[in-house]
Amino acid sequence: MIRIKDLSFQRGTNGPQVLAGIDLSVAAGEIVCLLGPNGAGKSTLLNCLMRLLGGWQGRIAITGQDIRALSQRQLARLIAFVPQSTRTAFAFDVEQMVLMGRTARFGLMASPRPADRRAVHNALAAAGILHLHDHAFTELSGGEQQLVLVARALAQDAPVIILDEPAASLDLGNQGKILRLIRDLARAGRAVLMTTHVPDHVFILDGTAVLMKEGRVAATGAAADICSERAMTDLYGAPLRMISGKESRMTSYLPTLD
Amino acid sequence: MGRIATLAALLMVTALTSIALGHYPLPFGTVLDVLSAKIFGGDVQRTAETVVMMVRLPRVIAAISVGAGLATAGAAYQALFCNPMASPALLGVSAGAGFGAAVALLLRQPPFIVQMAAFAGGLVAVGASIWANRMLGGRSVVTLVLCGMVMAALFQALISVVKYVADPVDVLASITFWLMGSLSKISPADAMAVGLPVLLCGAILFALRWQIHLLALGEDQAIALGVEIGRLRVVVIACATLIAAATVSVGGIIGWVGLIIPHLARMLVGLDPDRLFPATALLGALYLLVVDDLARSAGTVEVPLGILTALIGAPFFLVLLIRTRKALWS
Amino acid sequence: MPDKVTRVATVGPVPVINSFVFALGEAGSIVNGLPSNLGGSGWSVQYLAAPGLEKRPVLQGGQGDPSVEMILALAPDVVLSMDLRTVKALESVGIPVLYLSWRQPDDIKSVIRLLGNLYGKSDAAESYCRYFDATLARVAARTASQPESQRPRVLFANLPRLTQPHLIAEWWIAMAGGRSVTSDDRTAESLTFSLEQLLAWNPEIIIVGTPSEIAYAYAEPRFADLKAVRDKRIYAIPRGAHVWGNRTVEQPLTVLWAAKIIHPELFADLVLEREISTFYADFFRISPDPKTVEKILAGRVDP
Repeated sequence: MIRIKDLSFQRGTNGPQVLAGIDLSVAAGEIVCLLGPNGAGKSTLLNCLMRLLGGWQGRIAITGQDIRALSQRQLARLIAFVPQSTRTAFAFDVEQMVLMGRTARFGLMASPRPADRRAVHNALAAAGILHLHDHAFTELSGGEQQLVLVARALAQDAPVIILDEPAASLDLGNQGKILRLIRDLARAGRAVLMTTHVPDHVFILDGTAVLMKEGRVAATGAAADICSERAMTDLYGAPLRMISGKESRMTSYLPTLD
Repeated sequence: MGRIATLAALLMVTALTSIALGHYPLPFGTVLDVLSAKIFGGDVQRTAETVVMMVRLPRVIAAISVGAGLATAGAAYQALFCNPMASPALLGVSAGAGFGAAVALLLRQPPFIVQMAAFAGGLVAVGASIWANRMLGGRSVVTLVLCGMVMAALFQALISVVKYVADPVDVLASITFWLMGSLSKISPADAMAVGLPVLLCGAILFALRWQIHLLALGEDQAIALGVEIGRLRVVVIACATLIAAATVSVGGIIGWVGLIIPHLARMLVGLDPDRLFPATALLGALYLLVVDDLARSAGTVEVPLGILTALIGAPFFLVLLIRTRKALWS
Repeated sequence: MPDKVTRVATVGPVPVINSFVFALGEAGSIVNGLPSNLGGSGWSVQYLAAPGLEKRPVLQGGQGDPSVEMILALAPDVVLSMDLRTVKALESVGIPVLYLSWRQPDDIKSVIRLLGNLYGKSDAAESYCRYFDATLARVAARTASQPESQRPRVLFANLPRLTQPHLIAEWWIAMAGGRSVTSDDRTAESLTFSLEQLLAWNPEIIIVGTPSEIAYAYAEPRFADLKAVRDKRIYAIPRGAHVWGNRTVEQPLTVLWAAKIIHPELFADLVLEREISTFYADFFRISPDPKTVEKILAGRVDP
């Protein structure tokens, strides 16, 4: 559903080459995790994909459509984005936040329809936060806020979901909730692309790992194949130890201190 | 919705009462007679007709237009700039309009020219802010706000220059009084001159209310949710500037409406755009109508409107802020 | 105060003070010119009364504060001022200054007497005071019989701005046998009123500041119902050495002119042109030609 071909991006005419010749694809039902050190270009890649950045070269297609030919509204119907956090100028309540996800679907000058409000309700239920629907977003905990942003992406009802470090700064309990939701999204047939600093997540989600370093794709494949201890150490440029549990899904990486 | 309907009803009652208020002794019955004669035909005493149709009604319409217009423009700017403290004057439209009017008054031009000059001045100031932002290569609204502040300061300084060279006997007084804001000389043409832009641009802003609503999430998320941010910014700034320039050209500089009414409206009806935009407009119209009634009826001499809106608005807002329990911004 | 005064500087409302100096026949003693905002083609009588005035140095800008240095450079025998702040400022640098205070209408006589003392021309001052009293008495004699309530309602105003700019107007309207609609115990120099008040007063006569305001008044649809508009009784205040509506030594002429327009039938035999010629000849020592007299009466500012 996402097909990125030969994506390159240079910051300014004389700036550094942030992305060089990226080839990437995400199929329906697949979870692709971008792994890489800070500055590898993961966020830039996402920004190009969502057209928050312009001036990139290459071809990006969503469900077969070249995104250069799409309007912002059309793109919003295809891609739902879950940011790491959000700041709002006003204290919207949870229901209003999630309803914003539907804006690309009802008319430019129209109001939300009953179908939109139902979609919001369903999204809140799926995220397990129906009880928070009239709470002020700004008064929620970090984990609850993240769940609201996921619910908003759900309400957007787009075939592609992009998440930027979805479990960062969440406690273990909330991490589990988010990851479970992501897994369910993929199972329901959506294409999921996420960035993460935690290789463990790729294993838990049984996803495809894409290792990025210095603006290039270093390797692509199933977590079990690609994320060896040596590969991870190379990627992050730091000594790491891999710890595996009984099932291959339970794999964790820890920095060694010696 | 009940609250919106109440506001609308309140506005109509206040409008009718305002038409009945004034120094010229006119019984309420006569006022009604004049109004019904205009609608259904009939004869009325000429002076009564002059007072009602040419003095009071235009003034009431102007007050409603100015109040609704400034409040709506303020709400739109607060969303566009993600800043609850934004007002329609943010990009320098008031200072520019004041300068235009001051120059016209300095050159002893007739009132019509003064209005045109004020309108043009407002547009020029905002244009200058946008141009300066482009020169800076600024891509976000933050740099635009800074350029607006610079232009506003520049035009304020220019106003001071004009005041300095003005003949203190009469020109300076008229400039000062004009700048303080007043609806004391609104003619039927003036009421049109402000009513039409407010209606038109207000309708555009209302139509785009859900898109504007999304702007409060910040630029990146608004784009990700489908907002054509470049285009929307142009439309919002154009509409707000036209509204503000029109209000300044007929009524002088009237502040505090665009800043506090949106907050009051949020406190009253919440953040849903379908309710917030109408409530903002209605509340703004109501507020300015009541304040203008006070301005012209409180004493024998008329109090400049801009002064009253500040004197009433600031403490009133503070009290409401203290009493409100729901924190309405983060 | 110096014994012999031959060089005098006037600051502040220069044309007003000049007019007093003219009335004592001492126009030649004025060493300064008219400031930018109080000079030009609307002040032709000033230039007539004081030949060479246009060449003399200007001591103040539009704001009205005189330049102390320029006064020192001119070294006049005395400076005439109506503003206490200026008086203090000049005294502190040792410049001789005479403070002329004009608050009540009768102060016009005390001012001219003070100046008469200064120039050693008390006779001329008394001559003026006699003229002043006699003129007012002439007018009063004819209007006295009419009770207050029947006197025509008069408004002196700046119509575009809806202000009555000069307190003294209340006095000369009353002296001329009219009833000023704005005379309610006011003390401020300038009064602002509203459109509705204007419509409620419905004056029979309106006196405005310039001829262009007359056209404005007739054209403005909201004024169409006023009695003064319907009867076509809107007049522009004449301009001589100063605008006659403000405080000026020509005030008796103001009363005569106002009396004629307020009570045309009572003053049918009054010929203003003759009164003006006599006044200017006796007091200003000038004989303006008929065109100038006409321009004065019409209150025009064109060259």
